[in-house]
Amino acid sequence: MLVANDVGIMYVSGGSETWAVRHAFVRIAQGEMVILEGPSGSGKSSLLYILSGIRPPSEGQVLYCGQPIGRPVDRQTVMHRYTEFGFVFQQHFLVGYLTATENACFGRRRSSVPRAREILTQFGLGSKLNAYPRELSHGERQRVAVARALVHEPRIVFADEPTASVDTELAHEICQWLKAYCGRGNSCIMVTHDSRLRMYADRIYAMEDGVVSESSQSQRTAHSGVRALGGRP
Amino acid sequence: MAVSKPMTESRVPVVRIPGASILMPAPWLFFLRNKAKSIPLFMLVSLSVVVIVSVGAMTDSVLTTAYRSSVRFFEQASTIVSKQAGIESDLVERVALIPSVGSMIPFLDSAVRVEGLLGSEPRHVLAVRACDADSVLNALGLTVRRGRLPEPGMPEIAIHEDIAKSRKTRIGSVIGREVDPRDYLWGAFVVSGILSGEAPICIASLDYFEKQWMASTGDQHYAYIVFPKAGELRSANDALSRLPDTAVSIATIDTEMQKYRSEYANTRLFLWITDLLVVVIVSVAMGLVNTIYFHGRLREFALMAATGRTPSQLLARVMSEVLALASVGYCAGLAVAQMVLWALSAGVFSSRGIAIEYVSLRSAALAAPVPVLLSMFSTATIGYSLYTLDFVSIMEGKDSC
Repeated sequence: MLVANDVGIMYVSGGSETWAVRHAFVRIAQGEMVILEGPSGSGKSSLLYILSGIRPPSEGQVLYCGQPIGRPVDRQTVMHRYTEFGFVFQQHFLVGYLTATENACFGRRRSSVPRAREILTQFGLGSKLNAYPRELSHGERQRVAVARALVHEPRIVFADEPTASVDTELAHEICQWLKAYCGRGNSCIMVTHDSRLRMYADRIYAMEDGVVSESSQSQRTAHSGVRALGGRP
Repeated sequence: MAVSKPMTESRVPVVRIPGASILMPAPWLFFLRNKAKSIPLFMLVSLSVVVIVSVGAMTDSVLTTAYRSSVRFFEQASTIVSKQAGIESDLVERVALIPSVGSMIPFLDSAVRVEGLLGSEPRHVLAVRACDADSVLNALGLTVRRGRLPEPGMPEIAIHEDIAKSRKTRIGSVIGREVDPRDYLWGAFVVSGILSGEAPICIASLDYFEKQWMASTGDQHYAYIVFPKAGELRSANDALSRLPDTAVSIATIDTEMQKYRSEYANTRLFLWITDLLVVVIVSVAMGLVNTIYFHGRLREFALMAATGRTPSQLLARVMSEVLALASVGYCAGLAVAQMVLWALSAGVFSSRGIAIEYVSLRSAALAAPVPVLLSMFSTATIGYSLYTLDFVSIMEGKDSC
């Protein structure tokens, strides 16, 4: 579904060039949950942004369904980000003047409201559908952020350390939701430095100093304890 | 579990981004839920519309009154006025023989002063024979509301009700230069009647005027009102314009309109300058405030960009938000302006005989650039930031919501 061929990204700072990612080969198949792990500063987020079409690679090419992903502002790339991809960022980035439901539907059609309510209810926020971000706990805000990534049923969810600032229980819940979502024929790539979440991965890529390698510990089965995320009939 | 979107590896699905107008949040939601931010902007727009519309309506009042007083008469008739002691009889006959001329009425002209919106303004006094008075009243759309027209040969005058209010006179009062030196109306005239209708003028007795005329013109009259046949004003005026200009002055709708436009050119200029200044000041002020607000919402716009919005769509979003607020402010401004004008009219001007125009299509149109330019200016100031928005850097930052 998504393939990165020899991609890399270079940053220029103060006249010196730094390769954050170099010669990366990544493959995400349909229905797969992929974990991209590594220490802070290893280039995980940079690779994620390249894969999702948010940042252009300095070298190499990313293919989505066999077609190269263009520059971030190209209309086709923007369209993919809107309809095909979902994003969970490390911080929730909820909009302060919108309710939980409205945040989950952010940038979507009004017709997505029932689906947003359904997901939020499944995430345990049924009583806080109309609450504003300031009325939600940090964990609740992150759940809304996950709901926002799933409401339009994207084919690939890109999650940039969605569990970084939540407790262990919620971290597992988020992974379970994403795993269940992949079980419906969609895919997910999640950046994390938490090795306890490897159990959810179908494929694991490890990163260190911008170099990607597929982990030998990729686990093909991680269904124990996974709670089903209801989908459209 | 069902797979909601089956797809193949080989084909990129065709996707379309819906227009910004149907996406959440609605364009008005930010300002609706951030009243501390929206109310000052709303007030700014509304007040600017009130200023423009009020100034426009008052200027319209001045112009309309001046038009009714000085020009409207010439929509129905023209005048010829002697440049000497009187108009020769052969010239009178020549005019009477013009095929498009219906009738000629001898008259004399004077004026009284009233206090208008822009200070002291003249109001015409037409001195006509008693037998011709009805024709003149009909041509001007006037009726006798109270009292009667002046008796022939008597120092009497019938005045329009607005003039009566302005001068605080009523039937039996005396007006003229003897009681008010600002009047051109020579002598002292007793108010015999009150006229109502669109043209704010006075009617006096021609017999009395001629009796008081210092240099007698004998059988000759000094001036005539020339009524054309129905629908033949243009051809009658064309014929009159060919009369020898050494003998008479011709006043037609064209000459009077020219005078009127020239006289009130500065009034119009004042209106346009006021309009332009207010629009520019408000647009710039609101554009800058909006830019500040936008920088407080960078994460929101970065999120939109990251999750699938082109810079153009973000720009359309900004414009629709500002336009929504500005349009509501514009409508509220019109409503407030209407109330202000009504209050001014009822409380101040009506009792002084000054007619105030309410909000008209023209005055509303004068204020229309406020929401339009304001949206454009705001969009322009924010546009550059949007097109250079590095949303990845913003998304990589820390949120403090």
